[in-house]
Amino acid sequence: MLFYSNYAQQLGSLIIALLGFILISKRSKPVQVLAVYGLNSVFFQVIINFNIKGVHPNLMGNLYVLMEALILLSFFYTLFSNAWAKKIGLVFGVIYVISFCLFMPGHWTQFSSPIRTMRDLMIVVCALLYFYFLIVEMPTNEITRYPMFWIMAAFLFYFAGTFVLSLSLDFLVNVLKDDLALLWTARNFFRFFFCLVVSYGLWMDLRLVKAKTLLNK
Amino acid sequence: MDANYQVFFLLAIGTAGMLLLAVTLILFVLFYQKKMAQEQLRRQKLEADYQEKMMMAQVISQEKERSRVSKDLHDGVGVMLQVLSNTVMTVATGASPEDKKEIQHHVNEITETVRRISFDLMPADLEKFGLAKTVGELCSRLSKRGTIPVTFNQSGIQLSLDQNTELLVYRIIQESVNNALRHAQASEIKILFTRNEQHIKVSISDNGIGFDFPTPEKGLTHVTGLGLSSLQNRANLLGATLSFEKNIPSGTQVELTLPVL
Repeated sequence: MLFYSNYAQQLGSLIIALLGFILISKRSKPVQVLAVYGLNSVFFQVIINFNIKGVHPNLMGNLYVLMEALILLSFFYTLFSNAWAKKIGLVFGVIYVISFCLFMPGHWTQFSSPIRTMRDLMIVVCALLYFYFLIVEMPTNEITRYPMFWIMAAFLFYFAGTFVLSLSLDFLVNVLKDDLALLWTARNFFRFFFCLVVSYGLWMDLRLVKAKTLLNK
Repeated sequence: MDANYQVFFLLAIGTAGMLLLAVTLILFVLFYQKKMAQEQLRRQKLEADYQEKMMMAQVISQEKERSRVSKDLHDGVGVMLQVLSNTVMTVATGASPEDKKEIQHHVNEITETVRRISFDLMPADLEKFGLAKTVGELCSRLSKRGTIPVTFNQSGIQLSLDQNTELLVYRIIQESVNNALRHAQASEIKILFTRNEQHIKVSISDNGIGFDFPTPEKGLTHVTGLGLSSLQNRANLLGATLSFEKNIPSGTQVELTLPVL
């Protein structure tokens, strides 16, 4: 089951990368960054699958968490038009890099809870900020037609869901030992669902871009 | 072991709680936005209704004023001119027949001008005889006055519109014909009424030089001096659509489409 769930979440990341890269030059900056996020996920998942000799999978996993956090914070930086929201993204990025450098030495091959918890918390805060701006701006159109609504809903749902898991990861590794695989399977399927919803948002965005391209012709 | 699984259970509850919070927030944003959008639409509709009522009141007030001035001109100035004509004829008994003729001609000219202005301001026939007859009368007056024939055809339809509607339609026809006479350099102007089950169509077409008429993209702002926004306002009050098209081979066709109620 862990095997299938792993491939399911890899497939999800691949779909995000594909949908993001189609007509990438015509897409908005946040969508371009999201495409890079998908590609980054696929890249690291493939590297971990290859089981390179001398490279601990948890090391790659921890590096992936760093890259994921930085790419997603860049995504929010490009998404927000408000100056202080952009500054929050920047500050989060700096804090995260510093924290990573503080927490990781000596723990590279361990499943690190603090860096994952921080990542989840930062993404949840940024997603909440997006919804705050959405309420303030109050567009008159149906917001379910906005691709970014779906992408942000997916982010909020997924990272809020994994926040408690990340917070208690050290404890769970020590307590559950082999049973952690079950929990990780559930987490992988959850991530696959997250990827599907993000892909739906990207697909909606692609449709809008194609329609605009046809109109301009 | 039990204690560990109790903690695990609490963690599961915590995760479920976070997920529930996330879902609640998303649903809240969704429904709040929907409600605000509905509220905004309601307010826009109220404002649009208010604007329409204000415009209607303005138009009615304008027409009342025109009617008053028209009546004053016809009944007041017209009669005074007749009296003036009689007085001048009486006083100028010593004048030559040619001079008398000239004086009479000038007085007649002034009287006719006053009658024309009075008719243009508010045609009395509209209330008495209806739209079709009044438009016919307008066409024959314009044809007699100028060099361009203005023809009217109603393809055998019977119009039954209320007074306000007829007045607004008449004003649109009047303004469109005046525009064609002043600017189109046309040799012919045609007015046509047609009707089907759903619409009444009024078209005013000429064979002139045409003009850069408004489109949904350009709007009305680039065209000035033709009273087009006044035409559009009147069409909006009627709940009708006003369109401008290129006539083949040349000229313009202004088409007013009224829904049949």
